[in-house]
Amino acid sequence: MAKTIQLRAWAIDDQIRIRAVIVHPMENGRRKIRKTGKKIPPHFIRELIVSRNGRVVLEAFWGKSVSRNPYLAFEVPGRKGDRIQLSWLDNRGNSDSARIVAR
Amino acid sequence: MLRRNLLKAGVATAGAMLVPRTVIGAYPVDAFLAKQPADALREVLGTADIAPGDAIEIDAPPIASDPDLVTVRVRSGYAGTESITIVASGNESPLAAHYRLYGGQHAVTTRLRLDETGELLVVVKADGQLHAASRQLRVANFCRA
Repeated sequence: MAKTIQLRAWAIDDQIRIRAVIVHPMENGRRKIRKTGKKIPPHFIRELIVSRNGRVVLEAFWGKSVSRNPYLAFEVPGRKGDRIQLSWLDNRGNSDSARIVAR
Repeated sequence: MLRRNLLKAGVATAGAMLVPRTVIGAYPVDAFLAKQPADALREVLGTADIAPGDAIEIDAPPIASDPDLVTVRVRSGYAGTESITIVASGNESPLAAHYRLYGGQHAVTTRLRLDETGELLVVVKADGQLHAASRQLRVANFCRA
């Protein structure tokens, strides 16, 4: 799994705005393949962690009601130059992580 | 050159210090399997008996034209916000997301997938106290297979 994460972080006053889009199907297990009628098995991100300068600032638990290619945005106290890291883990054990420096 | 070296050093130390910690190890399986919003809340927060709080702002479209992509922003006006829980009552698996916040944040934005019209429930935990808020989210009923 490479490059599934689009991560942005920029400083506004004393906050860092963090924005992430993760490329992931987030299958909820209810969709069917139209031709065969077979159900597509669930495949979704369960856990996500964001840290700032090595300290965890947000932990997310996601279920099947989060959209495909999930989006996450929040603001955290910090400043330009802070290192932001995001990693995720899905129900099949796939994972990915990305890190950037806040602009 | 200096900047490049600094960057390299930064990345190297970051890499050494934090092996990407992807496993929190406390995924609330039962909460996400729950079919009823109240059961989900009980599993994840310990109780479903939560008093409404007026300092929670829910920003979402009143009618979702694309129910597969519904952007929801939740803002907590409570000091010491520890967690934000988002429940889509109309969904088969109502618990959508549970966020634990450590850095002094007050708001998160997520995109949800809605099965049908229903109440969006938000529970904020701040200083150990639970506060709830809800919003009716309607799903436009065209082109739903």
